[in-house]
Amino acid sequence: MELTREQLEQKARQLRRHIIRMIGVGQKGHLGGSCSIADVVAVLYFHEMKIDPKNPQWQGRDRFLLSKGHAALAQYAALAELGYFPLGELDEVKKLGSSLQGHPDLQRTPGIEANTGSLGQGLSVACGIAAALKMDHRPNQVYCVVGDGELDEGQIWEAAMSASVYKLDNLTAILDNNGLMATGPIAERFDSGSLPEKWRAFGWWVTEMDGHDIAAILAALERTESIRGKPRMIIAHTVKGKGVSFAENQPAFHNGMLSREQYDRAMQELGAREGERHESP
Amino acid sequence: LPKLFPIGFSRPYDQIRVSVCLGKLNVKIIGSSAGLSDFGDGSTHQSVDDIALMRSLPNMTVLAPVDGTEVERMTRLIADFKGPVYMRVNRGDLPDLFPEHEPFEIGRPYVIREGTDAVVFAHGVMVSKALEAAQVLEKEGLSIRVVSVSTLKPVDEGRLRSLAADMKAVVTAEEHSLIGGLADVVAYALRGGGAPIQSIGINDCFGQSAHSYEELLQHYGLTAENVCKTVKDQVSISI
Repeated sequence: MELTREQLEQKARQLRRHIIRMIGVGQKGHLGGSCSIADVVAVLYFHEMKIDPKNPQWQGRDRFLLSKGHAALAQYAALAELGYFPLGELDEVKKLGSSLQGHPDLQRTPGIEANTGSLGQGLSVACGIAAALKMDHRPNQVYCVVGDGELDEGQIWEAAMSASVYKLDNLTAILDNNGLMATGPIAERFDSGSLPEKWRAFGWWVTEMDGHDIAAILAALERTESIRGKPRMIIAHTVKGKGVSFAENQPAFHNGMLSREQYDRAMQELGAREGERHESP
Repeated sequence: LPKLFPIGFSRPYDQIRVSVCLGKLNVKIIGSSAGLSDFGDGSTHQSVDDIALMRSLPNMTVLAPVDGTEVERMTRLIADFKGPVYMRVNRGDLPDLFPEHEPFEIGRPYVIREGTDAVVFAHGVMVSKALEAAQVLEKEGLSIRVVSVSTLKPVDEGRLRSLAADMKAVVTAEEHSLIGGLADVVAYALRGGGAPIQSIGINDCFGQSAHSYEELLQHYGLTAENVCKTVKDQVSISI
């Protein structure tokens, strides 16, 4: 799909409006981490990846895994916009029996490649898929979005080592480096130190980008294309809750609740039309 | 006292097995958001198998407090107790039921309500559901004993047998899989003796998301109504 930079920016804003709509009023939802990856998700789904929304199991598809599964709302928004399922299903998120669970569920939702949400596991599954694609001599790419808080999980570093050992140059991990975890700043909780140095030491090709600048995201992804023999890590510098002023950099909105006023304000800031702004689930 | 999401301890099961239980180390593990109480986050964040996993480990003590008072008394006791302990704690507040002037003792079942026709063994949130059921059944002429089995291991089998003696029915109720939890504890303790046993619990499946805790409990039949119905069915079989 060929969208212009402006159109991708519009898409990212649209994804954020869907995120807010899914959270609604008076129910908890993962606003912060979903909004911090909205631009990356928009570029991957609407520009970068070869996918067929009408055929989610298409063998020739690129794969997207959300290792930080709690940001599922951003992925659900993209999948619905692309027509993997009707947009109306977004109103059913987290309802009893819904196909859209609190965390990505491969049995229930078309377009999901792995059950994630128990942090640390998605990158390992992505490595397995990337290795299998290479064995089958398939040209497809695997993209995996990892959280920076998630780097506390030991399994991430096991995956990091194996991706390098198996030279998975069809794997691109994007690290959502928003600096906050559920309980506060990562630097104060479990400081990960210098991320580029760490990933380089684990054998990855590493680049950094502004995770909210569409042009920068496009450029970083383009740079990965010539890399051979190594897995690729793009460290995305992001703002948790990006796009919703009162939620930006606020750990309380990791999995927070919106009041009616906050909901309306968020929708207004995200450019919702008058009518759209006042609908709520 | 490390506090872990139950999802956070099924991953280090092997570390708990080898580093903690095999060496009988003095480690206390608190599983927060037990059962379905993290209702919104869905199956990944819900633990309906934690008791089964922890019970199967030699040297491990397994606790499921009924309310905040019992959490406090258990915590004080296990801080002084030597050896590995697992305690599962609900995400929300539960109704106050623990006997006010009783100390907490590992292995002791607590009678929350006396009765003579049938006994309901439960733990955690299901004790309050059983109590509600007992109040309803009393109006229908059935006298129900409600027992909080807040220690799932070690079990005082003799005490469980005597609490089930002369009852027309035995029912177990728990917010956990029917495999490896209270259903197995009671069935094994009674070993086919006495009244027929029927168990309420999660029937070999994962949890899922819902907009409220009560809605999820209802979906899995973890309700006072289901306890009522199960007790009545069992009593009618035995008559």
